[in-house]
Amino acid sequence: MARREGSDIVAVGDFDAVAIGQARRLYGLAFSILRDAGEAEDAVQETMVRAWRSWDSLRDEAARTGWLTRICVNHCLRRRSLMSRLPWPSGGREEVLPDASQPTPADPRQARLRDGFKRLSARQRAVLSLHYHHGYSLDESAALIGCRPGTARSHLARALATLREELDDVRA
Amino acid sequence: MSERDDDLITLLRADLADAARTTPREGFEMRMWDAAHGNPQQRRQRIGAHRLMGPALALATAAVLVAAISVGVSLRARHNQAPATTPPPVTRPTANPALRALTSKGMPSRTGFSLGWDPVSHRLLLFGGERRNGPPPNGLEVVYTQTWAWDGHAWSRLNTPAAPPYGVGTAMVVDPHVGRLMLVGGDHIGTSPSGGSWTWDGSAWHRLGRGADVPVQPNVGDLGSDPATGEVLVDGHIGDGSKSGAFAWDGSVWRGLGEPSPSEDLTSGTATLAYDPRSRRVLHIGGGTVAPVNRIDPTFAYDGNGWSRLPDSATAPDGAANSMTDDGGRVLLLTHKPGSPLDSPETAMFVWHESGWVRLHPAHLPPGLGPLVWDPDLHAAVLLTATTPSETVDGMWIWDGSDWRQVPVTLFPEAATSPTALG
Repeated sequence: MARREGSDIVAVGDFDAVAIGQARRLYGLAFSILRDAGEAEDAVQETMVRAWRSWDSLRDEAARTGWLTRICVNHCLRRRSLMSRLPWPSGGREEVLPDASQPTPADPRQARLRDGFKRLSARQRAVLSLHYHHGYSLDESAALIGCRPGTARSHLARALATLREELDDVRA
Repeated sequence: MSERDDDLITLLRADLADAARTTPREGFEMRMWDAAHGNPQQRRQRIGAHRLMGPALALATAAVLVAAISVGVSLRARHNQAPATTPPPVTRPTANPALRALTSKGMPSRTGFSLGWDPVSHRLLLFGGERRNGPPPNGLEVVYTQTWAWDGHAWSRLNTPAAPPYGVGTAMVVDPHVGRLMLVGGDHIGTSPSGGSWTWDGSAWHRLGRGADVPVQPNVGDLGSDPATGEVLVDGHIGDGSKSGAFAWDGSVWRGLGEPSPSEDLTSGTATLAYDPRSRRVLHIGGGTVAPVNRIDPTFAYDGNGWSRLPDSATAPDGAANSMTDDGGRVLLLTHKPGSPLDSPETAMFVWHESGWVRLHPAHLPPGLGPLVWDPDLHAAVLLTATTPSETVDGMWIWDGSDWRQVPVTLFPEAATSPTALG
């Protein structure tokens, strides 16, 4: 039973303020990795379920944002890995369904970059998103993904090379 | 880094920013809240899983089996890891941007009115009321029998050929039997007789037959709707107030509910009812603001057969119950915070959870109290507040599931001053 003025309520309110308050940010991160609205929402939902179960055990309040990010990224990586193993009719890692939540850009280079993004692995996408949009250093990104810093740098370099190739095709 | 790389990074940042700005489906935060707090009925089905199984079903049976096993393991793990007890109810963010655009232009300033949400016209309906120049029972200036509607932006006075005759002492709630607002009671400047029972069809009032006249005199808020049984519940004082009774309206007759009557324990005749969707019961709580002590009475529950007093618990709210509503998932209660002045009460907020009340601590609380109504279209609770000693309504607040937001209000300029009933 919850107590009226007790720590239960404080903890729950704290969860709502911190975790639910970050749901949109996590959704954006998940979408940038998965490029699928339904999958992104699944990822955030799974993050919330896991976060709620373990919320009380995380005593370091300052680390909660990173913790939520790590849960979300890890779920995205697992989902992406599962998706890539399935035999899509179109083959490979292409998205099966176009996602209306992100319209096609007018700039052909932007459109091409998005095509190139689909060729990236989930870890490569995660490193790009964490580093270039969410402001994490490469070392921090590595910790969130669960790999060594050198591996994260490798993911980044390969991802940029893939995207560069895609844009070079446009220029050519 | 070369110019080419700079160009690439610029494009990449723009693309990632676009991705981060992608808007999830409406109600996203609420679904996340439900998922986290263990509301399985609200939990969203996995769209991703459907997509995995759909396009390649014939070609990839084995792979789908792998996916299904994986999902099954995940669900089993989720079940096994579920907390032993359901988490307590807490704030539920909706972040509906439409709520920020609400205004309340021309709001009729008065007290003693009844308020309800009209499921036919999908508007908030206000009937009756009075205007005072001082605290009740003195200072009465005007009694109204007007009907007003709020569409989310402005109040409009509706032209109704017929209307309930008494503008004070009425109560209004949706009759689940017919899906229309029902208004009962009403007295003229504090005296009987009852003004009968009326139904609102979305544009006009219609008086129900004499058999529908409510057997008790309800106060505002003493009326409740029970979707589980399709009944309207009322409790209140009979005759001169020396007796009380509880009744249920099934669409044709008022049925006495016998003992106990939740009104018997009331200290000052103030009570409020609301349906609890989780337990499928109607809750009743009363209280009073009899100076110098304001107190709250026990909570009662109606299960379709009769009222039963619920055990007192350590989580009982303090202060006097003022208004209550259900938000489609929980029961919200506003109380007059103990120790705060009677003429400018501070508000406390509670939600009902399983067998007790749990206090919420939102970032903002309305500075006054008044009728509280759930608007399913807005997915928000609407509160009209009075901050003056005469209890005249002068504010509007919206509960969006996580916090209160004040709606900009422009009061309707009333001209009449004579102490007579106005149509």
